[in-house]
Amino acid sequence: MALLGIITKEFYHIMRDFRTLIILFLMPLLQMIMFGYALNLEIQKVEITIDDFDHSEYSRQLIRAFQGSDFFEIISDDNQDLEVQFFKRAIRGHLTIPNGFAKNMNANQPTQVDFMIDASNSNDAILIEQYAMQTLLHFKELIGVKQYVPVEINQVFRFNPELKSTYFMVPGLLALLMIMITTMLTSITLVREKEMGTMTLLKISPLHSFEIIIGKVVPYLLLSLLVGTIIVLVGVILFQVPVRGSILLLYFFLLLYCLTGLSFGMMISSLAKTQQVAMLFALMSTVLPTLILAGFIFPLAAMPKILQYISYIIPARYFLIIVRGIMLKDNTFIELLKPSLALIGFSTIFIIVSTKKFKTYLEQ
Amino acid sequence: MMSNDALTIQNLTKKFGTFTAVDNISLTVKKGEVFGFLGANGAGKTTTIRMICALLEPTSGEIELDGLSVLRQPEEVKMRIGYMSQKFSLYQDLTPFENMEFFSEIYNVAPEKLAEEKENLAAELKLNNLDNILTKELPLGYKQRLALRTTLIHDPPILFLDEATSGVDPVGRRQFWDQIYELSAAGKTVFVTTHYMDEAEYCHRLSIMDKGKIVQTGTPAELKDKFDVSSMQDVFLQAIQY
Repeated sequence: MALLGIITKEFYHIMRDFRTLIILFLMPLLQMIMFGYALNLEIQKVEITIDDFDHSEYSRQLIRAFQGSDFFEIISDDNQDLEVQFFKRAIRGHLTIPNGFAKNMNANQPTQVDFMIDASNSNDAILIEQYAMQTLLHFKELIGVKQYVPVEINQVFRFNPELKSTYFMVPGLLALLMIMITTMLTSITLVREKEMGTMTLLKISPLHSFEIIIGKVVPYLLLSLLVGTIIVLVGVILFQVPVRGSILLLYFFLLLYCLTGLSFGMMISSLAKTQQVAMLFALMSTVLPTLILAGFIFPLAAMPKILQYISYIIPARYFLIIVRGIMLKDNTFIELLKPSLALIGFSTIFIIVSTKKFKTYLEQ
Repeated sequence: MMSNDALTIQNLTKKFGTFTAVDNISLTVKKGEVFGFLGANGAGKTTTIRMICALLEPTSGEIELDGLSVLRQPEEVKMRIGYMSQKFSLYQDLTPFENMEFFSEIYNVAPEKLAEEKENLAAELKLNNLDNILTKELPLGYKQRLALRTTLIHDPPILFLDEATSGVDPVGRRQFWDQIYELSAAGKTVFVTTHYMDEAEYCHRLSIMDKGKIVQTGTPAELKDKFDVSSMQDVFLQAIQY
């Protein structure tokens, strides 16, 4: 069978290119570990100093609450100038408990403490503020004071109660690495045949362009699924990210997503003139858009409308919804129908374009 | 009753926009003939071969190959063509046997035939490691023989040799031509394009193309008589009015 012939041949190409094979499996492993640890958005042990002007039982309780928290590390200030401490980055926060703190609390009066935060990194500053609020809340529970608050919010974080950033990182990395790898894999395959002169051989044969495209995609599809498995395993074992939904469903969508990437790479390959151009384009068109416009790191809702519209053509946007849905929420197929239709749509368009483009190349 | 012609071209024209690459050519090649196709670069040789091999649609005209219409039955035509170019069209990172297997798969060759061809190749090259040596490791002459055998694996009645001897030394080329004569004697039609004028002498008959038109057709002897010269080199230069 002709299709089988192409598939076998492509497998030989893959097996003979040992270096690429090693890079293919090592790269996602290394990147997972690097990203997984480096892109940790939680911060711990924020150095703070505390000035206590109240010297009461309550103020000591508050200090103990900060001491007991994993988020903060109180360092002795040795009467050093606060400004200098901030400038030296010795501290990132400073708590001032004013005189009369305990008195006000006992009198059930509204009372304030001052908390100064280094906001040179605004993301960190917001996190530190949230941690401080939590600690304050904890302190109030501890001493059993209920100040008058009109509405109290009782927050429940569903699907990720501890707000672990790995829960958010691993699905994102799966989306990023898979689209990058799959696109790169097929991006050079047709161009290589053009450069090596073997394209003539395929042209002159009775093979259909569709057979050639599919025959080239299938071996890489199996290979990508293997790489995908490694990434998921690293996520589950090393970063303890759960897979709450069906594994089978996860694989089905992984397959679909790989197909999207591979057919995109195939389209690049059918358009590009040289292997270098194809590789470069594959990298540029997958990594940055996926990092920025897929809702991986930066929330889409906060972006200008035009960027939000552009994000609709980024396959990772849909896969992220799917993979977060399956890993964290136990979504069913029906709930993920819309994003999966998008992926099917992408793959179909890419395959059609590459077949058509390949055909016109054949007729030149 | 099958005709005796392997290839018939009638009033074939190909235009790219306003440029006429092939201008109303007609040509007949008989079965078992070694037919040469000569022309300077850009004369329209490649465009013509592409149209014969069903890779390019003619603007007008008819091509019949082994009794089949190239325009209407391109798939069947492709099964009857063997094509070998100067690049030998082999996968360098596959073993010689794997290359043969690949060709067998895409041309639907029976497994027995493949096994036989593998044996023949091993016997011809006198190598017994054809299953674990990569094609790129073979000497050029071996690659050429491998290419010829893979090109013929589906037993095509017509063989196209597109400058297939470029870069091969004179001894290698002579040996290659011996094989071409054997094929011709076995009834295969061989269609040759070449830059080497000594090879033009070897052809049974040939056509010379210039600016999209066929300017001369005949046996080498006829053409030399016609121009009253002693070599095909001079025939060629006079034919294209250099």
